[in-house]
Amino acid sequence: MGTQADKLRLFELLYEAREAALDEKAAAWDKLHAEIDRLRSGTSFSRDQVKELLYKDGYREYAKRRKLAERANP
Amino acid sequence: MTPRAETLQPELLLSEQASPDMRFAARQMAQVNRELAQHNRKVLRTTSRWLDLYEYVKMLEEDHLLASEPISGHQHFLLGTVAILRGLGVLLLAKLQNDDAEQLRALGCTYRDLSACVDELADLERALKSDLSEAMIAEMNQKLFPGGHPS
Repeated sequence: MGTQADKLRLFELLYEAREAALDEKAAAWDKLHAEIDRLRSGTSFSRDQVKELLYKDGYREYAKRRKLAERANP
Repeated sequence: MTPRAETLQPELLLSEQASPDMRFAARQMAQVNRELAQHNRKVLRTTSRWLDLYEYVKMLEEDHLLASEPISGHQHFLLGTVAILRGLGVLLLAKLQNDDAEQLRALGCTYRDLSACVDELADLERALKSDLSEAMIAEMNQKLFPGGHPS
């Protein structure tokens, strides 16, 4: 189980995994999955379900804010 | 019955009003599909083309994400494109696993990096099709993040 800050951290890790350079993809996804596995420990949720939750509940808005900020300050 | 790979026609996803971006992506998917079906030794070129298309689809997704208003037909096209590209990626991984995985070094990545790209598309496809209810989202948040939603 985690906190509000943990969820934000998952958004951050998911964003970094999706934006990672090709030769850093596997490492970035491993990092995200390790954090998801830690947080879902003791629950019945699968890793895929947790990622689905992230996409459905806040990640898109988070990614949009990051993208717009990066465009404003390249 | 499993359809033969050569019969896959991503162009069928497109309406008459499809944008040039959509047409480009559909043509590239058809080309990757043809190359995978040829059983030749050009797997490195096919992988390179697949990776180009992967980046292109991510750009389309970004356009979708940042659009101030929904783009007509974009959501369905994106879902279909992601699904087909993921499927082609699975076939590509199988082919690489069988014989040519070491060639990926020439593209500056590993088999696991490529596999992560395919998994990313699977996640995205799942998210685009997701029917998680508000009640389920609330329950998951309560169990996973008792602290509530980040602002």
